Amino acid sequence: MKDKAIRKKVKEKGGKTAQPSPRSQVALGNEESPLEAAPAPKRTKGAGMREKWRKIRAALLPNPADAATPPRRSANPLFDLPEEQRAKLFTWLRECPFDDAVRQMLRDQGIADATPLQLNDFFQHEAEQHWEKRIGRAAQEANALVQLVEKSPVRFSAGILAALGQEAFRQIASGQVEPDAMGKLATLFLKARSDERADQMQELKREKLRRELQDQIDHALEKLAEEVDRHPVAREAFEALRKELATSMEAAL
Amino acid sequence: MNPTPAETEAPYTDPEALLQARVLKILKPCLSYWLDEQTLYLTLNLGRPAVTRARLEAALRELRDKAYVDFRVDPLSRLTEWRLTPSGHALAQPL
Repeated sequence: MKDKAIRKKVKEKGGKTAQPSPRSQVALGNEESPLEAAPAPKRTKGAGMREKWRKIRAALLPNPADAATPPRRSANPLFDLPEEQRAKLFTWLRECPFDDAVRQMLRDQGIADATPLQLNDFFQHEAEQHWEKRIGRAAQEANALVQLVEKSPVRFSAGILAALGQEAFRQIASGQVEPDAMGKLATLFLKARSDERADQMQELKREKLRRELQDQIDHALEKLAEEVDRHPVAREAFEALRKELATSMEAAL
Repeated sequence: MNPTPAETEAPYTDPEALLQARVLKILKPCLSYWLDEQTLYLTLNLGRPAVTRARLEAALRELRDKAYVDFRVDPLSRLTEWRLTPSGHALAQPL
């Protein structure tokens, strides 16, 4: 109410006789009253936060996520463990649903004692790390496989390459296939393609053989016809045989 | 004095926004490859507390409505698969 009265008074007298607020006296050394200064929009904490993140997205400010992650060891001693013991603990947590059992195993190994909350925190952090590593590797390996196939002399459509990359990604991400196996998959993929081409070649060869056989049969029949001409009685039977042979050859082709 | 919601706005104070951010974070390393929903669900549940399927579906729906993720049904496996759109990648970048 008092503020309102002051503001009203300032408005009426053009702000010249306004009483400075106690806060302005402390903060600004009794300088010009904020009410006398040029009006500026009030900046809320939320607006400031939004502005900060807008600048971070525009790369005008460094992203706090890019900065070195503060060590979690102060909060959770499990993150202080050596790499080998961390891997062992992660395996235990993944395979054993009972925190008490895991804590007992930790004590047995003389590693450290931890609260269930610390175990959960450790597991979640490690699981996320493992996930990001595996997926990142899967995407890289799939890209590498697609590039390898692209470099091969055989041309593939973009759709086939995308399907190949997707399948490679799915296989590696599922954890069922080691990345090295992808090289073998690429080799098999290319071999399957070359086998397909070999099959086509074989088919062409078979077709050629059939034509040669047909020509030989025709030739033999011509010769036989010449012989039959010398025996007119057998000519009718020969023509029937020739017709039957031609029909069966057409059916075979 | 109780602060207004606008004044207390900070990244991921809302659990659903946090879940959406986690989904984006999981999909980010997949680059342009599709990740099936079941794997996404299992990944979210690596940590505890568990995320229910209904919450995941709601989060995915909202992200799809905002065009941050795209989906398809794989013709062979019939699984629903998800990946980030370019705007989703741009959003997930500074997280």
